[in-house]
Amino acid sequence: MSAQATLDRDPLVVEDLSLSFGGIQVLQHIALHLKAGEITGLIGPNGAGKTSFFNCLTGLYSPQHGSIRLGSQRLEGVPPTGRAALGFSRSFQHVALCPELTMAENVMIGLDRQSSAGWLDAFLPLPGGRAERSRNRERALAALDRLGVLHVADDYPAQLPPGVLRLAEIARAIAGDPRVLLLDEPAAGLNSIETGDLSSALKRLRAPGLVLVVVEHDMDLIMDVCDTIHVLNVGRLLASGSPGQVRSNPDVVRVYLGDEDA
Amino acid sequence: MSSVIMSSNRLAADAKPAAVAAAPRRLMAGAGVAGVVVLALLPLVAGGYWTYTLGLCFANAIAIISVSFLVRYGGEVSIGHGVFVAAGAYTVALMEKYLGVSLLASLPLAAVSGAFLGLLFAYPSRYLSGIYLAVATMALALALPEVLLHFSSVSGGYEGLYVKLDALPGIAKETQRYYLPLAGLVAVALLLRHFRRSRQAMALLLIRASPHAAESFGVRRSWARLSCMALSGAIAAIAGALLSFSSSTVSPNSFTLWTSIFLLVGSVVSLYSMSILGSLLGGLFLTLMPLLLAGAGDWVPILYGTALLAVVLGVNALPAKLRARLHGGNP
Amino acid sequence: MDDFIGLIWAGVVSGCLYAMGAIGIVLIYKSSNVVNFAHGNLAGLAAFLVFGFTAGLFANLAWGAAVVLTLAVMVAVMAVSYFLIAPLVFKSDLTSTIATLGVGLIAQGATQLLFGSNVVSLDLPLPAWRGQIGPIRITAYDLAVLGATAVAIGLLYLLIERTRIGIAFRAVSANPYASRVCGLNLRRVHLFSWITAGVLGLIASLLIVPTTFLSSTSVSSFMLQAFAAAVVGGFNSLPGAVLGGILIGAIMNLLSFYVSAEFNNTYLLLTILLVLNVFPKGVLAIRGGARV
Repeated sequence: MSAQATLDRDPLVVEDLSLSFGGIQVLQHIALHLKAGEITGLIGPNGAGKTSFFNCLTGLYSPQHGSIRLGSQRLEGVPPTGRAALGFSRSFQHVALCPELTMAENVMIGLDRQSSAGWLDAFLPLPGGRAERSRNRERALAALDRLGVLHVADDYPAQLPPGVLRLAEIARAIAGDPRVLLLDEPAAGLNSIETGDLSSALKRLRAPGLVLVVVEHDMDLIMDVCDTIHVLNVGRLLASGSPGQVRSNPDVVRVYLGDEDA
Repeated sequence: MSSVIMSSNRLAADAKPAAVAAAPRRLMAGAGVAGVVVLALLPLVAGGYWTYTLGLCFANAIAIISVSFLVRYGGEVSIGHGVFVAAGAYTVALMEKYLGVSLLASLPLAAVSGAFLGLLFAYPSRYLSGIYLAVATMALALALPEVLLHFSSVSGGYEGLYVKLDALPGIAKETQRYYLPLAGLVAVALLLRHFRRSRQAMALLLIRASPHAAESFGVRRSWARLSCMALSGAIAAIAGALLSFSSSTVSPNSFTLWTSIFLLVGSVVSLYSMSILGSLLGGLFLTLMPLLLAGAGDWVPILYGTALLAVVLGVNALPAKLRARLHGGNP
Repeated sequence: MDDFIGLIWAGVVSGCLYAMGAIGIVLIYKSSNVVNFAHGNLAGLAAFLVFGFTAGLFANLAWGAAVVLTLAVMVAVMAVSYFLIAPLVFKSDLTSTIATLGVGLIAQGATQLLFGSNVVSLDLPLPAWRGQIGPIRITAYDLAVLGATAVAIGLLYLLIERTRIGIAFRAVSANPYASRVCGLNLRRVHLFSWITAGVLGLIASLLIVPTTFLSSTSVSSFMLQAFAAAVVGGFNSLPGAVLGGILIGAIMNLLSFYVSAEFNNTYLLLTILLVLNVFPKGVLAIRGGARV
């Protein structure tokens, strides 16, 4: 069991990652060690390469140089669907829920790759398929509950405000017990109350086997939630450390945070 | 935590509770059951002409469902589905010709042939979408008569083949040719209703709405396209099998490009419905119009075209929720 | 080898016809994102009108007068067609495309009503000239096709590059929303492209008809080639439509001769699938990106 536990604590290690698009250097020599069991923040001005970095992690982009490893598993050439199988999960900048599914059904998609119901189960009410479906529904409801939005389980996305949709999208991302969870600007478009709900929800997501990385612009959220923060600027790593260290780093203040308000 | 409850209480006042939204759905289901009962009892009062026509109508409704299925789950429009219908029809006719078996044995094989043909077409076209895919389906529909006529020793050429065997011994011919298509329509509608609850359906709907999100959860685009086309082809082939049984013949005339276009018209008229009532509406439109206008053949295209425009423009004037249905939205 | 060159030549000539049809389709698609499935039926109706005006059905005009009169009628017809689907154009591309099927059906029905199921011949008033350059046999018809195509494309190019409505067309096809914000009248641009497409369709059908008989379905059945040409060249590209037309014309001719003449539509299907697998959005497609 302890061997399993060690495996579950695999960090996500990025070594000397470089990415360019047609002459534009988007990421240069990024080296990061993203630990499991804590919440890591990734901040930086617009255009610093944060979303591109996420896309490299999930396999949407292929970096020209460098490597990404989950524990001892190298990820070069593994497509997004393959990385999903390895336990990668992410949310998107623009809400990516299906408007034709209820919230619970949307979250159940997070469990799809772990499900085994076949085509026969899809068309006929066979006991095996029905049992799996109700198990998945239970897990989906549990995930929604963890994010504090259990009450909207049977509503449709069109009826709900963006804050709730964002929490549900995160529920979808954690429903399948992922090993790596990447959240891309989860607070975008949320008001301060919704951002507060998001903060509390994120803190509850900390888990020993989970690498949780959050890209955000909302500094209050980042400082409140994260254990470690990395700062990107123009494709390079500018600074890393605890929230206190980053906040007081003069380079970071100059480039991104600006003069501090008390 | 309390802030969540506060913000959600504000919403609860505006958002429709799930129970209210379910009521119209239950109403529709009840209407569907009543409709099926009426149709089941109809032959007791209606004459042979009507049972024959309605038998064709049920089969057409299934064909329309296959087109609607591709629109709703695959987000794609096909003007070539007549080819898959033909696959089913010719399978039944050929199995009768060479193996002497009736519809009961050949129907499952017809469905398989439709699925197989769907996969065969879907694979080289799996990255095509929108107008590119539609033109490919148009080419598919126009290529079919050429293939059928080339292999005329097998397919019967222009004249086609006959389907004469009864499926159920001891029951009158007309009765069988009414109830089997009806049973087929009910079965397909029920199977699809169950399908909507499945994880495959949810994956298909998500990948339609947001391909990147679906891929990050392990759903592949090529899988989605192949599955949609295979299922759609299978449903169309079932329709074809029942059509050939009901009309007792198959020939290339029944499967032209216009046939496929009319299937799409029927699908639009039924608002892409996959329910019994909705698809029946489309099926009735398709089957009855030419019969009602039998004397005024030249007016058929004009009336179809006008009806299509009327439906499309008329629905456009409806409230947003129904309009979303017309544009391929919420099932 | 002589056969080969002769086939290519004939293919280029018929390819010009497909290109003309394709340009009409692409024009409408670029400006309003609607695929006009009625193009073939409307062009066929136009050809029949010319026939009607010259052969005594409606009038006994000289060829030139008949064409001009038909042009006027077609402008009206295209305008009406556009206005029929206008409410849908801004709402949904799919629905407006399906609506064009309705327009096409009506056009087909109108043709059948006016002219019955007659099969007639409609020849161009061309001298019966023939020439030969090496292995290639040239007729007056070939030159007429090439000439008409070149003139039409040249005029269209001038129209789009040099006139105000042309610039507006380019703006709308690049970014309709921004164009609207800048005050461009989208409806006018749409109308321009629909009417121009109708004119091109008329010219194309008048050039096609001499090669076969004119029946209520002959023009629309050639439309698959036009669509294939548009798709192969890149649906968003006017030069692509021309290139696609010539490619399709040449390939079809070669396959028809060397393999079998029975399978024209099957060749089209295979060509479409092959080309689109290598060039996903057509040969001259404008490549776009996507934001995740």
